[in-house]
Amino acid sequence: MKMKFIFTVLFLGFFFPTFFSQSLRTMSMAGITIPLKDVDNSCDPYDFGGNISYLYLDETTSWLKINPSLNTNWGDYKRPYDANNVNLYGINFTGLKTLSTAGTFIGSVSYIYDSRINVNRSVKYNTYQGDPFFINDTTSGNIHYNGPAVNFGYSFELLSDLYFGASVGYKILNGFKEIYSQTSTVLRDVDGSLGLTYKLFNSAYLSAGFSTYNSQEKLTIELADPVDDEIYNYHGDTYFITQIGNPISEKIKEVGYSWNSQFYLNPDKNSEAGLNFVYSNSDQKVLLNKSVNGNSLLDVEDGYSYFNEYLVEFKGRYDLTPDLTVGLKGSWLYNSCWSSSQSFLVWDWNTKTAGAGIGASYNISPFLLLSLEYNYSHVNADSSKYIDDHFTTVYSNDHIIRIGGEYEIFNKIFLRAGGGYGFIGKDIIYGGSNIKYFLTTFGLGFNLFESFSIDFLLDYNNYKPKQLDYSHSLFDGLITLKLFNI
Amino acid sequence: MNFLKIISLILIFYLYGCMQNPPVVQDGNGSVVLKAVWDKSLDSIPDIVPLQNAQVILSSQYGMQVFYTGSDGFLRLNHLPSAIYSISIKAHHPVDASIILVGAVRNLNIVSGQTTTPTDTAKPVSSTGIAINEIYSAGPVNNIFYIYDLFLELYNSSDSIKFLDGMQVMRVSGTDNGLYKPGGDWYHNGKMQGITYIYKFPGRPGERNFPFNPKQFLVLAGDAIDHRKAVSTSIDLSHADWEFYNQYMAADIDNPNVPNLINMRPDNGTKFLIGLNDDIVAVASGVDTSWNEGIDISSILDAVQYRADINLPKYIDDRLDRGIVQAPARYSGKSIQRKEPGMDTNDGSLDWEILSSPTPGRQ
Repeated sequence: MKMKFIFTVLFLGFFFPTFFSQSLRTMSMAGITIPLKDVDNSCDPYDFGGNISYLYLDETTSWLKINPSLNTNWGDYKRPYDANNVNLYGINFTGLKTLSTAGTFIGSVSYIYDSRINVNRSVKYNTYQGDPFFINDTTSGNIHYNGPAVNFGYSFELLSDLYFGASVGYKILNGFKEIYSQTSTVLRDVDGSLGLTYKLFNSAYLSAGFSTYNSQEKLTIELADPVDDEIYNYHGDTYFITQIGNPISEKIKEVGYSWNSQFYLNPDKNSEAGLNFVYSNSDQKVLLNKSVNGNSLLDVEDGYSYFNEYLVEFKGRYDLTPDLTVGLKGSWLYNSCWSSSQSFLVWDWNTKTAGAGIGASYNISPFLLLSLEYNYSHVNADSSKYIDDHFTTVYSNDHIIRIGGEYEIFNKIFLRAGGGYGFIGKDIIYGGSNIKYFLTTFGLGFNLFESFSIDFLLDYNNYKPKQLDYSHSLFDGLITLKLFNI
Repeated sequence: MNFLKIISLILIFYLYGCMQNPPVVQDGNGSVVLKAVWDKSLDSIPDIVPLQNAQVILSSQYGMQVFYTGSDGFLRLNHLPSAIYSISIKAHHPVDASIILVGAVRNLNIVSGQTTTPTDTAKPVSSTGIAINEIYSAGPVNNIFYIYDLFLELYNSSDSIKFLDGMQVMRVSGTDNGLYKPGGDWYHNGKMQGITYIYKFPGRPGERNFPFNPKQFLVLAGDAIDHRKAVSTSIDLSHADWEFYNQYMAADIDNPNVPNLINMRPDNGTKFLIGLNDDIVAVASGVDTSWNEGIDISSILDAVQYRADINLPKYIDDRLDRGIVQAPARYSGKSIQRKEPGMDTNDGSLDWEILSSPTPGRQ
């Protein structure tokens, strides 16, 4: 489930940039978030908790952002069914329009091209979500996905001191595996959210939100020629059901709900604090077409998975002096998921992650800002793979320290850079131990003009287990062109 | 503030009311204690003894696993996933190696958390005579839809010489306008219906011109040529023992060095072919030649129905075979073969296995 959380954040929050994306400015400074002040990095319910109802209060000017992006990751430190290399190319347009007292509207349109090179056997889009239902063929091959996503949101003051917001999103991806099974994928995702924010008193806000999504991945293994495909529906790591035929079709349906609540305190310009609570659950079904005694049965449930997640997090920031800001963050994440087939429990996973972070940023001069952040997390994971007779309990102490800076090299031209180093005791995603983590970032910001600004980001991440000669690397390149007062 | 209370109540209700609990029973914890025995008595008084070191084949939706019984005749397995299993056991007779002891337990419901204790009583199978031993019809791995390297392999598992004179080999895939399915006794007159191709060895039943020696394999090729010249992944059948030849076809391939089975249906001018991964084939003694009225089930020596999708229904009459053989994928280059030469328990689902590459003329 931690995997699922991480990948959800990765895909929805980054490559399909939604309304709540972190600014390139902070990402360019090693991704420091705790002590850095930024218009998109406050502790309010919108920036910190993603509650759409606070949009009206968070954004006060109209703008349009254009974000082309490139992300690639590669390396031999990977899981059995991972691709050798993933390249994501995206373009996103997000526009925000303030309508005075009538509210604030935000809309975004994205298009991505997701190219996965040498995916080993798996034909699922999200192979590793914490469920045991892998869908494989027999070959390694390239799979390419592409498609658009749209999101719309609206927030306004419903009653005095009571703000309401709603958003909807739709995404569709088409994918195709070039060789052997020639699996074609149609991934459709619909989501929506509602939120309310109530102003308790001058400096405090309480928000609550509900969001839901419904996604379906349809796999069609159909060859133009009259030959057969073989598809293996795994139940766990060991046992699988073989399907032979042409065509073979399967669906993965997922429905999820999420409740969230935020408390935001902003007594003055020098301090702010936010609390975010999220509870979410979702279920996923793997559905096959089967024939029994000559009767074709559609969408027969082959596997069922249920995911639960609780997140409580806190972030606070305080200006000790006009030039020195300190911040604190704490979080607790609990994931619980189980999977069943034919009413038997197949897998059961639980992870508990407690995290804490502290940081400071200091204006050394009017032109130079330096920031330092340390994050610690402790992960406990229990995995019970009943069908595989494999039970593990692992825990991990992870430490990451980041340092970043911003220097105004010329008037309103900013050079940003950062680096990070970390140690991960046990990597519950990829399975390695004693992982060394290395991060470096570089960015530029041009705020020369009244009507627009441009920000660039390059970052490189590397994970390497201490005892192995393998590593996994990620590289990102993003540009944000922001037009003001549209 | 009442508003906040309501929100809080809804939240609490949701958090605790909508959570789903996992199933109580954990998969992968099924156990089997199989007792394999056989009756070694020579008279009517049973003498049941353990079957030592017998091969046990466990089949389920998760595929096939092979185990062996211990010296006490028991096989104890733990950590099995819940499924409907079939168990077949096989061992050589301790005295007469030509006799095979076979047994089967079908539809065994193994449930996780429970121990199932079946007893499998093996029976001797010996000298049953002629059986279809291997079928290769899937076609080689290729992208030009080459399907002509098919062969059937017969095996004489008896200790006596059999004679092929007049014997028939059939493809059974016809239906009666969809009302009846191939391989069935449609009119309840003891005849198998649905014959689409019927070929025969030369001569008539009872004649003794074409001997089939004990423990001999015979390869009946669709075309007795070296198919590797057409598709490199195919096989060489130029040394087959027999070849299907349709004398009513304008230009069927005929290897002059390989004797022919000839077509009994003048109305059929097409080449002998069988379904790549779904069909019925049968071998009959040839005493019943009125194929258009169906072939007497009593004259059929062996019949096999194979399907890639074994969830599809079985058509073949139970008197001919009680199971369906799992067939490989089309153009996979794989064949199906009896697990033991000529071993026929009359349940194809237990007797056969998929081979990654065909083995014409040998096991």
